[in-house]
This record gives sequence, C-alpha cells and structure tokens, in this order.
Amino acid sequence: MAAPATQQIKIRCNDEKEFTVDRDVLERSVLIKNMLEDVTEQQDAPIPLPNVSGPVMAKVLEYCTHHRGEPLPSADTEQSQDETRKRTTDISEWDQKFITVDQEMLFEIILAANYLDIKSLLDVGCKTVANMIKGKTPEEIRKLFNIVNDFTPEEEAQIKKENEWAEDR
Amino acid sequence: MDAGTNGTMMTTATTMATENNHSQLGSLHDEGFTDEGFSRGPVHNSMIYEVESEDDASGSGRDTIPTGLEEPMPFDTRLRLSLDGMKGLPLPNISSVQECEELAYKLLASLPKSRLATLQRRLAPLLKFDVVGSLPSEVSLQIFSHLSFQTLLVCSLVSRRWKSLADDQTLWKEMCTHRGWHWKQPSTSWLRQGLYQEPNADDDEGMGDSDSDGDEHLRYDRSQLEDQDPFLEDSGIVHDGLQAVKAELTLMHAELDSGFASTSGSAWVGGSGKANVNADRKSVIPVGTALRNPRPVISEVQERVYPNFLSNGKGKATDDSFRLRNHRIRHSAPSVLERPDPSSPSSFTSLPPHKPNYKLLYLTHIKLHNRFFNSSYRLSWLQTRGTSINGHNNVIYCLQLYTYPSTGVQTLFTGSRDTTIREWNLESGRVVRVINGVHTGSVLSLCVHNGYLASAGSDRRVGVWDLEKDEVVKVLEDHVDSVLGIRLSDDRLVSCSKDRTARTYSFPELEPQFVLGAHRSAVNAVAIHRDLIVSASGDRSIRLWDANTGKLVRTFENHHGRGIASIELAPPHILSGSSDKHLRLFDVTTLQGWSTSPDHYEGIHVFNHLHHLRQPQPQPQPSNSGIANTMSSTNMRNTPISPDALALLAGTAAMGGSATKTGFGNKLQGSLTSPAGLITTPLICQGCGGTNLVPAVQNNTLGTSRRPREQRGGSVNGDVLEDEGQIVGPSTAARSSLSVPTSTDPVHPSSPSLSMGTGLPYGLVTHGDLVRSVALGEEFAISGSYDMSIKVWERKTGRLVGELMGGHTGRIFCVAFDRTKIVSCGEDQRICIWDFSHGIDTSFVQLS
Repeated sequence: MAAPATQQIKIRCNDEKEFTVDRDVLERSVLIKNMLEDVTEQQDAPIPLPNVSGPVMAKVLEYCTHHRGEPLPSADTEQSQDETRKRTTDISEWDQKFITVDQEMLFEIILAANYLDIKSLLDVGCKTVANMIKGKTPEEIRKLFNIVNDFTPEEEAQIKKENEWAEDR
Repeated sequence: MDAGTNGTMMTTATTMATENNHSQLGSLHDEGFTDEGFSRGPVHNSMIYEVESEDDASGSGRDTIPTGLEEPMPFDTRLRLSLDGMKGLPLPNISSVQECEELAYKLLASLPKSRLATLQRRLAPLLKFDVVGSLPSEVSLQIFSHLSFQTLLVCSLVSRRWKSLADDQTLWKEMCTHRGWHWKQPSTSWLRQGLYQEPNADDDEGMGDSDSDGDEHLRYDRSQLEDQDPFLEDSGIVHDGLQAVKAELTLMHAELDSGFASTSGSAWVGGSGKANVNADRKSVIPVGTALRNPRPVISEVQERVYPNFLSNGKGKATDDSFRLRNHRIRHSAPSVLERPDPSSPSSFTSLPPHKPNYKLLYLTHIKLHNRFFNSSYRLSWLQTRGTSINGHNNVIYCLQLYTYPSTGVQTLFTGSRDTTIREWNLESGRVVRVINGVHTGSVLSLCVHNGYLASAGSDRRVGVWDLEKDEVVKVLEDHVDSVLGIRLSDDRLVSCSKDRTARTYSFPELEPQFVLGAHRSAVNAVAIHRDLIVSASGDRSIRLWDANTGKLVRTFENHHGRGIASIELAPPHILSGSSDKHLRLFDVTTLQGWSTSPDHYEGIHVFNHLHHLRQPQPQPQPSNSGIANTMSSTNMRNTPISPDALALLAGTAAMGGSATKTGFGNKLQGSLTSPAGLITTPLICQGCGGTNLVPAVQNNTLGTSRRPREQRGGSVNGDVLEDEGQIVGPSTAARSSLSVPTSTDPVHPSSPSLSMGTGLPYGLVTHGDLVRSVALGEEFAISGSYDMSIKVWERKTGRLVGELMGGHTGRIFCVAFDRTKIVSCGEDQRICIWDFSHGIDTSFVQLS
C-alpha cells in the first residue's frame, strides 16, 4: 500500500455507473487482475464490467478495500484446503456483518464474486447461504427461500425413505 | 459504500427487467401495480445467462437454469393478471417497470404506518427466492460443500432442483475421499471360486474385458462351461452354497447345452449325489445367505439375463456370444438395482452398478457404521464343532481376513491346535486350501501379507508359505519355546515366543536380523508397523522397538495390572488387552488415551531409555477432566515420546539407514538397566482425576464364578499365554483380579462408565475375563475375551458401543474385522461371522 503513487483504475458497471479504485484493491478480483496484466499500455478508458451493477459493485469494493493487502489464496492452498476446514462455516466478524444483507443482494454478491473471481468473497457468500440452510427442515428451507415443493407426495415419501435408509438398523 | 440494500436491489432488478421486457411492456394499456417479486424470475434467468455466456458461447449456462424459474409467466402477463383485481380503479397508464415502481411508491407513501408495516410483512416472502437453485450449479455445489451429509439429505427433500444438486456425485465423492472410503468395482467374485482349485485351467487369454478386474474369473467361467458338471462334482469344493451362483450357472448351462436337463438350482446341486457333500453344504448355507443375499441376483438373472440367453440360440457358445453374456452377468451380480432391502434407496439406482455412486457408497458406510454402533448383525458359523467335513477338528487359535490384491477376493485363514491352517471362501463357506505339514504342534498365530502366510506354532517353529506357489518358503526354528505371535510388514517378519524374546527377519528373504530380548516373561504378542515394533508380555509391560536397529525404544512398565495378552499397533495408537480383563489404548506420541480400568493400576512407569529425558520431571498436576476413563493427560505429559520415536512413527523411508543408527541408536546406549531411567508417576485415580491416591484394588476379587471352562482348559492353555511366568489359564481363576472394583464405586458417582451408551452398570462394562485378542479399525476397537464375548469400542473415546455374545460357547482366542463383519474363533472350534452387512449390497465397499 505504501507503493509509490498508487495506480488508479476506472471501471464501468452495466448501469453506466463508474468507479475509480486503487489498483491493489481492484486486483483482489482475479478477473480484473488478469485483464490489467494483459493490457500493456496505460488506458484511460474504463474497464467495462457488463455483469455487475453499480450498487453490487459498491458492495464488492467495500469488501475488497477492507481486505486489501491480504495474501490472495493460491491455487495450491485451494487444493490443500482440507475437508474439515471446508466443512466449517466460520466467518470472521467483519465479513459476517458485511454479508448481512437481503437475499437479493446476497445473491448478486455471490454472482459478482464468482464472475469477478474473488475467491474469499465467494467463500463468504457460500458459507453464509450454507449457514442459512443448516439445521432447518425441508419445509423451513422452502419457506426461507420461497421455494415451491414440486415433488409428488409419492416422490417425497420415496426420498424420505432413502434418506432414512442409512439410519435404519 | 453502504448503499441501502433495498434500493440497490430495486435498481438492479428493475434495470435488468426493463431491458428484457421492454418491448412486451409496450403493448400494455392497462394500468397498475407490480412489485419486485414479479420481475425476479426473468431477472435471474437473464443474469445467469449473461454471466455464463461470457465464457460459454454455446449457452450451456441455460442448462443450469432451474426449470422452476422458467415457468413463471412473462412480466406483462403477470402484470395484467395482478391488475385484473384492480379493475375499476382510476389508475394512470404505465408502460415500464420504473413507472410501476414510482406509482407503487407513491401509493405506499400515502398509507399510514401501520398499513405499511402490514404490507411489508406481506411483501417479505416475495423478496425471498431460491438463491441456491438460481445460482450457477458450480456455485450452488460450493454452497453445498459446506454442509454435512445429514443436511444434504434434508436439502434433497426441498425441491427437484435441490435434489439434483444435493445428489451431485462430485459432492459425495469428495466426502467419501475425506473419510477414506473408496469405490470398489463390484466384482462377481463368486464366479472365481474355482481359482484355488484349478489354477491351470487352460484357456485363451484374450477373454477379459477391459475393466480393472482380472480375467481369472473369466478363465474359470470358461473352463466351467466346457468341463461342465462332472468336473464340478469332482472338485467337490468349488461351486456350492450359493443359490444365485447355481441359478446363473444353471442358466448358462441350460443355454449352452439344451441336453443338460437339470435346470433348477436344487437339481443341479443335488445331482452330485454325494451325501457327505450335501450334509456339509447344509451346514454352510447360512453363511452364504448371510453374506450374499442371493435372491435379488436370481431375479435379475431371470429378468435380464435369461431372455438374452434365449435369443442367443443353442449349442456351444462362440467366444463372442460368451463374452457378451459374461459381461452382462458380471455386472448383474450383487447389484444396486436389485436390493433385498425393500426400503433401500431406489433413486440411487439411476446409475448402473458398475459406475461409482458415491452417495450410495457414503450412505452404505454410514449404515454399516450405525450397525456396528448398534450391534445389528447376523451371526453365522463357518464351522462349529464336528459340522465341517473339511474343517478343523480342534481348538482354533488364530485367524485373519485376507484379500488377494490381484483378484479382490477375500478369504479367511485359520490356524488350529490340529496343526493345520485352513483357508476359507467366505461366500461359499468352504475350505479352499489346507496347509498341512508345516507344524507339528498347535498353530498359535498367523499373519498373511503380500501373498505370504507366516505361522507360529507351539512346536517352536515359524513357517512361511507362498500362497501363489502354494508351497513352503522356509521354516524358522530359532525360538527355544512356543512361538506365540507372528506379524509381517512389507519388509520384515517378527515373531515372539514364550522364550521371552522376539525375533525379526528380513522379509521375504527371511534372513535373521535382531533378537529383541528384554522382557522378563513370555512375549505373548507382537505388532509391527513400518519401523516400529511393539511387544506385549506376561511381565505386564509393553516395549517399543526400533525395527531397523533392534534397539529398545521404550518400556511401559505395569501397563496393565496383569500379564498382557494381546496387542495391536495402528500409529499413533497402541491397543492392548490383558489378563486383568481390561483394554487400554494410548497414543504413543502424546501418551494420551483411554482405558477400561477406571482406577488405573499403579500409575504408569515409563522406563525411559533416552538420556535427555532422564531428568526428574515435575510432579503431575491432577486433572479435572470430566472424562473419567480417558487417561489424564497431566499424568502422562511429563514423559512425551522422543522426536526420534516420532520419526519412527512417521515411518518414512528417509528414516532408515545411517541416520537412524547414529542418531537414534547412540542415545539408547547404556540405559537399558539403569534404575535412574525409571520415571515413576504417582498413583492417580484416573476415574475422577482427583488427587487422592487410590491403591490398586488387589483384594477385590470377583471370584471364580465367571470362569466357564475351568476344567477343560488345561489341555489348551499349555499352548497359549504366559502371565508373569505362569500359564494363564485355570490357575488365574484363583488369583486376585483388578476388575469390578466395587469398593471404589462411591468414589466415581459420575463416572462416564456409568453413563455410557449401553447403560451398563460399571463393572460389567469391561470384559469378565482375559482379553485374548484385540483389533483396531478407523473408528472401532474390537476385543475378544475368554468370557466368550466380543466387545466393540469407539476408538476415539473408549466408549463401549457393542457387545457380541452367543456366538461362542468357549473362550475366544482371536478376533478380526473389516468394514462389514467381525470374525472370531476360539476354544469351541467355532468360526463365527458377525455380519453387519446383512440385507445390503456392499459389493462396492472396500472392506479394509
């Protein structure tokens, strides 16, 4: 961060909303990082991000700014990430607060993190949804996400039977 | 940055919706009101599509869109419908979502607060949507990867979309891999039963298909078809017991030779006309049925194979038609499609049985686990006294399950006082090999590893047998008394003897290496893992040896209150069973573990052979750990194992050679007999972890009432164990016992022993007699005792989870287990199979 004269990058969202951001913040997105690396000449034209809207980008940038300077997860650490760790859904306090948004925004953030390739943010989003699911009954989950039960009663009974199969003696 | 979330949402959604629906909206002349919920479906669709199409012009992203979201009506239709209810209201013309929104907001703003609040509650569900189902599949799966299998099962009940996600193979495969559960290609091992009897059946080698199974069974099939029934009778051993095999082979015969009249399974078998074989078969059938569930296979044969047979014409099959049929039969063998358990998962069967189905694999493991935890087994006997023509006719001392790496066929080896070793086909229940002439006395211990069988006898011999060549490799006669235990590793053989030593040999060369002599009494059992050997003796100690140098690494004195009868090493854990009726498991690196004995002997005397650990250690602080039968960590912490031993445990190849000898061996020098090396920890009541020193309960004997076979044991025990120089046997009945310390019960009112899952009162929790055999698995420890019972313990905690009784009528001498069963043998000449896989298909489960 103490780099000489932090480079500023301009991006444009699909709603024409533009942001000017420090390069290191923006580079938390692997997508943008790669784009910037591919561009040899300094360009004044903003980078178009056709899949992200302004309000969502604002949120994403908030996240990236807070986490700037942290090491990016490499492909190796991703690989070695063991299952036990993966199965835990601990989220840091700041991230927890950050991700406390309505479903629509949560959905948009996850989509944007996936598109922009920001692994840690995608992870936070996925864990958040996982935490919403945990400990609920199917009916509670349907209610939570306004999902219509499209199984026939017979199908539902069959799946229940299958699920209980392992628990049977 | 903290933009109002509602506002954000509205903007995003409306922007998108406008773009997508603008032309349609133009035709709207009605006026009205909409809300975010309406535009949501299309929004998500377009969003996903756009995101995905960035990288995938073929539009495969479409495929990931949940069907549920394509069903909602177009915006204009819904708008119109919603406006139907408002007919007659003086509403202005609107033509866009923005106008709708603006209008709605104005309307809402005019409402009183209480109404707004009500509306908000009404609108809230509309703001909810299927986040998981609307995301691209790979992201949804990433969400699901954070869920436990139980939660995944719940998710599969939410909707069709969720079910397809929650059933995803990659998800379940990852979970299986994490647990070490790998898919085993189901094989029709029953077709290979003749292998042992007809290794030189000539055949063309090109018969096999390309999957991972060897083609030996094909060779067998072929020879069967050509040699036909008379050969089967002559062999007399191979294809019996199994209704399914009979049925299938019968059908094959019927098809190949219409003149072969005996088409029914029973006729086929009965036609052998050998009364003794039939009688034998009768005794054996329960095993086959318990393990193999033949019924569904038969139905599959009838429904799927037979019609094809008919279409193939008659007479001798060509190689081609045979290959086709054979292929079909093989995959129709124990099949997922035809499960005997009527409640078993049917949708699992969407995958053909030869393709890995990791959800099924995972749930099958869970089910097996639950059955071990609940003692849900079917008991059958490979032999009982006098029932088996080709069985043992005396006490059976030892056994081991072995899976041939080349064929995947599992068999059971047993060694007996009748001086023979027998190999059993677990599916047919028949003896497929008898190894005779190696020993002149009882076979007390055996070990099968990498195609070799090593056996130990009361004739002081160690025999090594090449299973493939079916010939003896070598007989070692170095011990000067009964050889009580034998174990093999990849490159070593270790034997232990009543002569108070253990010996190691290179393997398979069988060159003598080291004599491990330090025990003061018979070495009853040994175990080996890579560079580490552990020995258990009647002198109550466990000793740890460096296999590369033959040096003693550590001694755990008085590890049990009496002689130690059995030992198992599965790093980092050592499990031991003793004449004191207890079991003890501890981690060699941390010295923590559990014991079935609540008031723990006389503390742990670690005879430390490493100079740098000789310094006096601070007195341990009493632990207030709530887990009474877990060894107090503070008790042990002052004597952690050396880094060298840790390296030994790691067992890396780098550990061998000079590094070991110089670095490790030197430290061991000269400390073997020094009393200064003895670190004595004070008596600690392990039960409550308190500071009160509880003297070992020496006078609290249980009496002799629990010893069932006192009189007839004498002839047996001469071969078996030694306890502090004395034979463990009837004599021990008169001796004091540490178990059932009723006098200390009041001290342990809250001992977990009292509140274990079984609810058994403390004192009944451990064995009632000597623990003669122990085995360690990933999750369980198994013990077999002279009290005629087998107990299953949770490896992690020492909790008793199962008691297996009623299989034996005499002392149990040996137990072994894999993921589907426990096998045991003993004084009563019985070989018990405790099958935990009854009624379920486990053909794809790796057994160990």
